[in-house]
Amino acid sequence: MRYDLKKELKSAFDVPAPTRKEQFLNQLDYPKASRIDFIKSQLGYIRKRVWILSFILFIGTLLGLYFSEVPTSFVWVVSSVLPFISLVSISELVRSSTYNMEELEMSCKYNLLEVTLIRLGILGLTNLVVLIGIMLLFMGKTDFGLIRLGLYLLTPYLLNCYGTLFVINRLRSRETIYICSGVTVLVSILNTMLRTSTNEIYTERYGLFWVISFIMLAALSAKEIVKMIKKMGELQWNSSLTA
Amino acid sequence: MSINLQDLYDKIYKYCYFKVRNKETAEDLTQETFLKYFNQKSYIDRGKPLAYLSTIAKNLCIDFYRKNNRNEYLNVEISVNDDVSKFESNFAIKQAVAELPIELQELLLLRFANGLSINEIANIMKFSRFSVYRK
Repeated sequence: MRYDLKKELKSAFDVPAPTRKEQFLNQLDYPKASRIDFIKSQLGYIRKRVWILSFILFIGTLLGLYFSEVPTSFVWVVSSVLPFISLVSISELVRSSTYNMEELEMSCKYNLLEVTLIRLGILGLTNLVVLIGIMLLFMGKTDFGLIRLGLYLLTPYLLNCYGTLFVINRLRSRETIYICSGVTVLVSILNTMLRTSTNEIYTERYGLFWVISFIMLAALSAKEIVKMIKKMGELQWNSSLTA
Repeated sequence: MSINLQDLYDKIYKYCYFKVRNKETAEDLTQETFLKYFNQKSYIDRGKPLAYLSTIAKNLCIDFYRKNNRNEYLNVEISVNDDVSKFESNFAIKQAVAELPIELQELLLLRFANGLSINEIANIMKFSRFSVYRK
């Protein structure tokens, strides 16, 4: 059917404007979405590759530990792969700027800051579950305790978190994600080089190095997260001024 | 729940007005439709609110005619259109639509004014999909 005819047909059913609409809709007590509904809805927006990569890493570690003859040396393999998990999670946070949607998302019912924080929480929780799962798998196969394993696995992960957040907070363009990918590759290579150049890196001799690195990187990552939240708050304020 | 209530209200009001041809009654029926819709929880999260609201509105209109024992329209109100030239250009279409059987008019309203799918119209009007296509 012709478009103009459809349009004419639509106008053939024109009616006098309702008079009590606004009053009724303002008083209407309809069920509003709860926080839980909102969090559930955000789960659906996280891309499948985040879940798939986390699952592959977990299964890969399981198989690697099963077939590897020296499980201790497998620690550095996993710790070199872990930054990629954080990269995939981080890529979820820069989707708005990658697709130039920030301004639009700022004006939505739930603004970008809320959405980002919820997604950050979900992704952080997922990564934590995967990490704990991997650590438990390692604990059964190696002599390392939970804390030592946590230090070995989480330090490169935190270094990548800090590096990518540092980039995100200073560069806001469509190319940010490529720079973040470069940072992740660099962290992974650095971790591998550290292991190959220093054979005793996973011994108690380097314990202090791991502890200090972990604390410093955790603090720096937290600082960058706070900075990101503040920056989004400023962006929201700017958007409200131009609305 | 992120539905455009304003838009839904307009569409249901248009449908009720088509059924009863009285502004006040159409608005009463529209509001009753919304109250009934939000009074139950079984359907709200299933999507397609317009189709469900249209079904409620249709049933309420039938009840309204039953209660008042009427088979004819109430005092027909003629919509006032400010734009005279637009009114003239639409006149032929309006006249053609007015000459159609009431069932077909309802189908056109649901399809072209309210944008419902063939399936949804078939469910509301209790026709088969094939009948809707044929009409």
